[in-house]
Amino acid sequence: MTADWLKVVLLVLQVLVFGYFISLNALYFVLLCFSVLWCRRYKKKVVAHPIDFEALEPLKVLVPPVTLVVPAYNEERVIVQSVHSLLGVSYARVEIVVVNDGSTDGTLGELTRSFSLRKAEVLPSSVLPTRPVRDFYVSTVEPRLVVVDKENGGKADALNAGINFCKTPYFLAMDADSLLEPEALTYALRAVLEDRERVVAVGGIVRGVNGSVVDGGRVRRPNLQFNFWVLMQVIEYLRSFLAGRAGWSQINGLLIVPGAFGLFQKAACLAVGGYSTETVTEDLELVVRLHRYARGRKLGWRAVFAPDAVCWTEMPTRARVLGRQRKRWQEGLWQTLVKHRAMLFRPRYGVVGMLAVPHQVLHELGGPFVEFGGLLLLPLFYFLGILNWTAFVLYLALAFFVGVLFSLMSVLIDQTHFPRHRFPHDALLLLAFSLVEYFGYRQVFLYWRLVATWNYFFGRIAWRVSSRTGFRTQAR
Amino acid sequence: MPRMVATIAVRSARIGTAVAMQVSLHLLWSAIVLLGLVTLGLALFVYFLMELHYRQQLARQARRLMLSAKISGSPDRETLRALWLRAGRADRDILAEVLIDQCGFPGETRRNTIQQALIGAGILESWVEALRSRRRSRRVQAAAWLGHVRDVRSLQALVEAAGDPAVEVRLAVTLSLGRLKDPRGLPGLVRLASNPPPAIPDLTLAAALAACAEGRADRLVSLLRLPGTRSRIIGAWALSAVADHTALRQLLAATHDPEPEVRAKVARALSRIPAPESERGILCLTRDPVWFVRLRAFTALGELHAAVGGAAALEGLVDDVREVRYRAAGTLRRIRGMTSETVREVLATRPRLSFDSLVSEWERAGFLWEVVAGLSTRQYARFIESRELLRVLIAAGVTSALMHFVLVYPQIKVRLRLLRLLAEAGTPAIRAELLALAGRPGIDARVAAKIRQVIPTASAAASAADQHSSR
Repeated sequence: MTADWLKVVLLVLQVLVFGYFISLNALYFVLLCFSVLWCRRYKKKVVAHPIDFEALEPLKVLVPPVTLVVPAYNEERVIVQSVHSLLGVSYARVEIVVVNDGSTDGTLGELTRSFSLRKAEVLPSSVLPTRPVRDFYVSTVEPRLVVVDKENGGKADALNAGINFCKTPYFLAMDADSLLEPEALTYALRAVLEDRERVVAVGGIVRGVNGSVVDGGRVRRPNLQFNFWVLMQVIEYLRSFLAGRAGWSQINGLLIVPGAFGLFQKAACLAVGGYSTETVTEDLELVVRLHRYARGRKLGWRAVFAPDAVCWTEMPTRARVLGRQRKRWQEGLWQTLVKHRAMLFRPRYGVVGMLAVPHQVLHELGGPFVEFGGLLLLPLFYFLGILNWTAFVLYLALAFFVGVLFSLMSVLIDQTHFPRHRFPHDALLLLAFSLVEYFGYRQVFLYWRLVATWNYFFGRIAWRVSSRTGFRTQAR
Repeated sequence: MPRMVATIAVRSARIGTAVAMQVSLHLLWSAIVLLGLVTLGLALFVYFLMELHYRQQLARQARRLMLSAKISGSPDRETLRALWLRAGRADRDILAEVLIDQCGFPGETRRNTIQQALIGAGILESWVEALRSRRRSRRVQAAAWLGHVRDVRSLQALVEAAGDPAVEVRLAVTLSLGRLKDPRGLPGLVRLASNPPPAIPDLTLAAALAACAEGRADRLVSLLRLPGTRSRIIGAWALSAVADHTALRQLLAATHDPEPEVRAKVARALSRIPAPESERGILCLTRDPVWFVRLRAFTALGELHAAVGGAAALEGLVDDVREVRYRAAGTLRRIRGMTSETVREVLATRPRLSFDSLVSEWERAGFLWEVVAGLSTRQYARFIESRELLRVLIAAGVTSALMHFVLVYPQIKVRLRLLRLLAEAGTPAIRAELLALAGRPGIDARVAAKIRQVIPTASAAASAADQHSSR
């Protein structure tokens, strides 16, 4: 009797797992189709760049100024080079606000030495609540740079402090360990200028700087580092940005604007109250809040993706550090979606309420349970004698090939539309590691997500700091 | 009963599963074989594509080097013609790129030589022809190349191409006409701005119009009267980059435009035309109900350096919107300079938040540093003025940066003078802070000694500490 009921339950679970698999991959497939079409159209559209400072001289005074807000916590190894990289962007009107978020190392000292900082009595121009600001510094050698020194309060708090001291209508939130390509900001601004009324957030594409040659704050020669974790992340990022976010952007369901490169309209951010310090993924939460605010008031705001606005960032090279990052992302996802659960399946919130948030809940939050459940079910099926080995192996193969296909398509979109890694051996590495991903990495990733879920429910969430190694400046 | 239900459920599930399994296994096999083949094919395709791109890139670079070498120096028309006629399509593209690169070199002479060679060899003509090509990509390419060459012979063709059905071509034409900077290109651009396509940003069109409209602002003014909001914004934006008195009357009329964005751009445009009428127009906009119009109006007042704007900027310091107050402070700085009279006036007659906005905004331009620098000057009047202003500021609580200057200002003489002022005019809290500074490791011995000297309690405390330690 019990065994019969158990079998019924197991069979139902099997159907559910299969349903999950079908729905997830169907959605990914649709997004991939949107992405491919959009990237093709995008590439055709941008044959001529509308913000061409060299062609149109008046643009230098007409473009809206942008503030680059750089929160820095213990970034003494990279901060000076990052600021140099930012000063080298081709955009004509840039101001930089570095927020020293209570660093315990020599971040402020490095900045003071390199840019001759001196204290100034400046009050914020907006009033987002933050931890106390200790001092404000201006540079005597670089008028575009200011530094805010505040007590430690986390990245969201530092960004809010930066916004408070930002005087421009747009700001770019980024990481201190990131390098911008010279044209990145111009490309991101193009997305805004094409639809000034509605576009309030633009996300760029994040690429791994590991292994590349960096000089004067610029990536001179992009290379791939031969490191398992780095290569896995490169493939993941390509898939996430080019096969996922490009599609979401197309249907106005983009929820994630990367923390390393997110351009925002200041007024819109102030209207929703700035970054939330209650979540550990403040970038995701802000965009969801912007959608919620705008759709609730029928403002028509949009968050879009700019695939050629490239930001290079240092990717974790060790499993422990990567695990910390991924756990934080999963914990932040839980926090954000629980906070905005009222949007779930609410037609009032359009694509975001009916598709993007449900996808995050069912596939991203529910995914670990389904995958882990699948692993648990396997021995049960075996002991109850209802495991069909042929079917099992076939489903496994199907899942593998579908996953690899998505990865390969992302690499293909990257290579044909926005290539950065131009050497054939880089392609070989990416292709090889696309195949390897399902043997080991996925399982480790599942473990991290399960731990993060545990942490969320049992209250052990905190910002975890990554260690930096600095950029490589000599050729290989 | 439950047993029966369970049995039925299990049997039906088994039957269902068995049937589904039979069907789905076949399907699965087919799907996997298909997917496997697709994956393999795709992997090979990606690899060979990269290999191919890499090789093509190398070959292209080599070809480019060869072609550059052939036309280096001063290419004569015959050499260029022969080269152009012999070249295939790919080589022509490379050659065009090389020529365009050379057109961009600094120096008019070099560009003129290349232009003459291009015209003589009939290449320019072929590009003008390409503007009528059936292939969109050729038209875009031709429009872009013609812009780089900057030869007026291509103007008419570009103006005609501004009506091209493909928006990509129109964008390339906009940029090229902007590069040419010739008023004869205006009709094409005005036509585009009258009905602007969504893919061309307002800013791009405005910049192109401004580049061409030097001395011909009358052509832009017509845009201000169009019913389309975008057209009016583009017109006002373009005029803001062109300083032309002939547009003044229409700009003043546009200060009453129903669209705030237009009014904001008009404020900027008026700031480029120094005239009493402009000042009056901008002053009117500083009282606009929309905050960002007021913000732009104050910026415009500052850029105009209009003396009459001082009073309006002082009024702006009490604006409800913080950003407007800051901008008004910036305007005051530009109009009157960072004078002690203004500081005193604001402190005496305006609320505290106005004073804070003023100091905050001026500090970004180095206000306190400049005032402190006055302590080292040999001009007695300036020295006195700086000293008195510092006393006022310290009394108003502006001390944080000054404390910092005591530690870091390059001249020790100034540091010591500043220290004395802080000690004299400061509150007990400041004195306590100074005492703390004296005990800070790494502080200049002279500064520490001065602190102990000017603050009696400090010396008393220090001597007490000395006595304590000697005991």
